[in-house]
Amino acid sequence: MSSHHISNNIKSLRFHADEMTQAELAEKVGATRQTINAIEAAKYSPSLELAFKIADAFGVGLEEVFQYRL
Amino acid sequence: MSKQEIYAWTSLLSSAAILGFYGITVYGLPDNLANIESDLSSLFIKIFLFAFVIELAIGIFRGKDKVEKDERDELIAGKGYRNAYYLMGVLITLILSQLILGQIFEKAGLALNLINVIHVLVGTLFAASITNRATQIYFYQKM
Repeated sequence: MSSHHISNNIKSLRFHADEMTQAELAEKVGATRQTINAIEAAKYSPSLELAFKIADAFGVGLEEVFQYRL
Repeated sequence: MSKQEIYAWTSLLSSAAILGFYGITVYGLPDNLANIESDLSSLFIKIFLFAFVIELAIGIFRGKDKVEKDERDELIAGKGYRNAYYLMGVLITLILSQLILGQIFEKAGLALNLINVIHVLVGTLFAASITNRATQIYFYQKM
């Protein structure tokens, strides 16, 4: 999984979303807490669908959650 | 640890225990280790029962997590099946080669009779299952 170039702001977004827990976010987007944890730690790159769901859960655009750099 | 990861561990344990028990039952141990054969068989049965009980308990117990399986679990399962398929492919090709090119293998002292071919096929199934679950555990740790 080539997740090295993809970073994310999920932890910060969760904090600003009333200190949402990983489990709460996981439930909102239909994923497991372990998957949210892996995404947050940049160990796993989610599918486009899950990425959009995560962005939607915070009410922001995809580029505000995930960043890609070469 | 997610439910799927625990299932991977219990399945790995039970497959390894069955393979070990099957191997001891069919081929036994060398003479110098014969005294621990029954202890080892008993250990394999205990490992299998332990894994079975854990799996049963997890199946009954509903954790607080609403979602039990998602795309990451499916991706990891896919990697496990791929590696198990590769192993089965190699082992079955070797067994078929042995049957087709029997004379060459006989000269090398590697020929198997029909009963042994069946034992090796059964062993291959469990080895593939172990490979599948071990791969899954590796990727659960990695990603």
